[in-house]
Amino acid sequence: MFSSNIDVFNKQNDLLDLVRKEPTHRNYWNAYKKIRRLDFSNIEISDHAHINIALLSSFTIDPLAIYIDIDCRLKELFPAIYIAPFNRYHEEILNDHSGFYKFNPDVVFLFIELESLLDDKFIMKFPQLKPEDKEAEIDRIIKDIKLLLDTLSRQSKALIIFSNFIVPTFTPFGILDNKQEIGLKSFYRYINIRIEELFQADKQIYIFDLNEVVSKYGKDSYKNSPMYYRGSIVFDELFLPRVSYELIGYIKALKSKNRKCIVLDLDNTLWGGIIGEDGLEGIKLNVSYPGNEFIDFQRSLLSLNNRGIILAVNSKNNLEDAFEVFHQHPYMLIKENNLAAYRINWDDKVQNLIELAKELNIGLDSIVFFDDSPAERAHIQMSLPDVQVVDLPSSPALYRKTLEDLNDFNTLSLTSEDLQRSEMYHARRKRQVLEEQVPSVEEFIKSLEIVAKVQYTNEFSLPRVTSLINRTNQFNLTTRRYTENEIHQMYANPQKYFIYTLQVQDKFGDEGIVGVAIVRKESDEKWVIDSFLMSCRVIGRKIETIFLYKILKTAKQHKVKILEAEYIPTKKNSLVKEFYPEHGFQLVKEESTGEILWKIHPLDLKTIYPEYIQVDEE
Amino acid sequence: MMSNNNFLFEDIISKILILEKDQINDKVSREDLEEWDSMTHLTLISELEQVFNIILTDDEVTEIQTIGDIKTTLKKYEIRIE
Repeated sequence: MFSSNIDVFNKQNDLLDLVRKEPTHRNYWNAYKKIRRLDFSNIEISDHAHINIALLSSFTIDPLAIYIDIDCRLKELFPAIYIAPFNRYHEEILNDHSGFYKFNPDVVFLFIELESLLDDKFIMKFPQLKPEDKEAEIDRIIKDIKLLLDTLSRQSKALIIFSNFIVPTFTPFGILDNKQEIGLKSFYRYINIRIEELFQADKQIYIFDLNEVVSKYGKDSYKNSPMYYRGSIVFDELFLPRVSYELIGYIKALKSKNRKCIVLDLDNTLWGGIIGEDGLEGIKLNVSYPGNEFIDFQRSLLSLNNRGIILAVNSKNNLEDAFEVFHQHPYMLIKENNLAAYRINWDDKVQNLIELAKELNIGLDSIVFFDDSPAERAHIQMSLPDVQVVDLPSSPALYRKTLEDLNDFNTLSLTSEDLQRSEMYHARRKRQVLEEQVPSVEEFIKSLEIVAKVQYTNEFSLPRVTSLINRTNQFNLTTRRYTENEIHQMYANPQKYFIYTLQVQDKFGDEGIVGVAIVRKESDEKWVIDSFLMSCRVIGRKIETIFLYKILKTAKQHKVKILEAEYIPTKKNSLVKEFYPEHGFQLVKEESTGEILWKIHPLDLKTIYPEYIQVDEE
Repeated sequence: MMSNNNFLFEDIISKILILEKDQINDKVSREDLEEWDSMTHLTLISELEQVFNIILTDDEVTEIQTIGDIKTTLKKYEIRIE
């Protein structure tokens, strides 16, 4: 019988519902097996939702694949999974025609036991070995791993996640292990440290701290010994969800499913008690108990804030009461200038949250919401399912742990914008206040004292370039996504590509890099604008014109006769449909799919950019 | 009324071997059931061990061929399935 697409989705969802309700091993297994039987062949899955995941390991990794598969689906992704034959990772990586490369993975997870790289008798003989033998062995292993990972990264553009080695709890030296020049535990630790150092600056290879994840769970219980001897299955079924949870952190970062903003309630969330009733002296917020749980929670929030996660407030309170705490309470760590935005009023929290997302120009799917009231949480979750509503325990003693257990703020690189984000949002809030006071848009833009800086990208700006390319939806002419590695390759090939960045600052602060353009040089006479995009937070200030002009100017300097530019429509970028014609480009052709090709002759050009923006020429 | 053990047993068998409840009977064997491969077998054993808090011997693990065999084995650990 013909089953419609909707049917397949409904069936999948029913199976996932069982897992959501009761995340037991058999429900995961069952859902995984049954979903594999569903026919998704007629269903078009967007690039954004699809992901190819490969698992390479020295032991039976199939059970983990089940969790990764289902956990991805719970995050609305459609994974395809490749499991390399048991302990064949070497061959799979070194042979460039292997099934693994044919699969064309987006992410590769490698799980190798250190024991599998050692001679059978090595650990047994360990107490008798001389330090130089141990060092030689460490060097050999590092060389082995480097060769393996270098080969892999050369032949695949996948994100490579290598799990470090689990430091054993048993050592034949017992209490004397760290009295040896290299004890057995140190042997493992040295190798782990060396691997981390080796790939610290790598853009494609990430080291997964499996040892730490195992420690957190418990080294006594992560391994199912009977299953290990029966079938080389290492991870206990109760540990599997924990590993999967950590690994999904990489996938969420890769697929831009990470969260960017924490929205907080105030009373009984940031402090104990109710400010409107208990007053400044009455609320619980102190360096000693009671009240220290809240300070600790705030500390952790601020550490995330300092790495680029923005904070906002959504609270039912009188604004003056709440601000009294922010401004005057001696132990209040989060200050008003840490807040990117706030809604402190008596309105519906759902409406407030929608407004906050709009003001901050982020999706509801970028928000994590903390509120002590189960009723408010249920209300938000039901009305705004995209928001991640944290199931906050009733004891504030657990707030910090709850926050730190979230695995939703990961990005694949940390940019200087991340580190300054909190300040930038604060500046933006002041800018908005100004906009409300100044009569015309032009006056407003003029009063901002904008300085725009267009540069060729460099090593330092590459992570930011990648991040913008993969996140920008609205002001994005072609919405082409590239991995950091691909961007790196373009950057390394200036004969063929120019990558431009646009940096903007004004009197309130530095916005950092907000725009990226990639120009592909087809020949000396013809260039094509492959990508042109800008963060929406600077739209409406005519900066885009300057950015485009700067590209035209370099084209003119290089005596390029024709510069082509494309517009590829998506659900989100209709804003820029007329961008090229508005800047003097002429139509070449329009496809039935909506793609439009434009051209301009840089040599005939006399575009002038708005005089109220200062251009920092390099 | 079905005992709790019966319920758990049926739940494990149906979910791991991908069988409807009415397809479960003592004669279902590894040989006949394609789904019941070695990975499935180990998972099934592990589920039974976790849920009933037992550890099967190596012989028991290798000798179980049918659903009936599982019941017989569980009986040794004083877990009765009707």
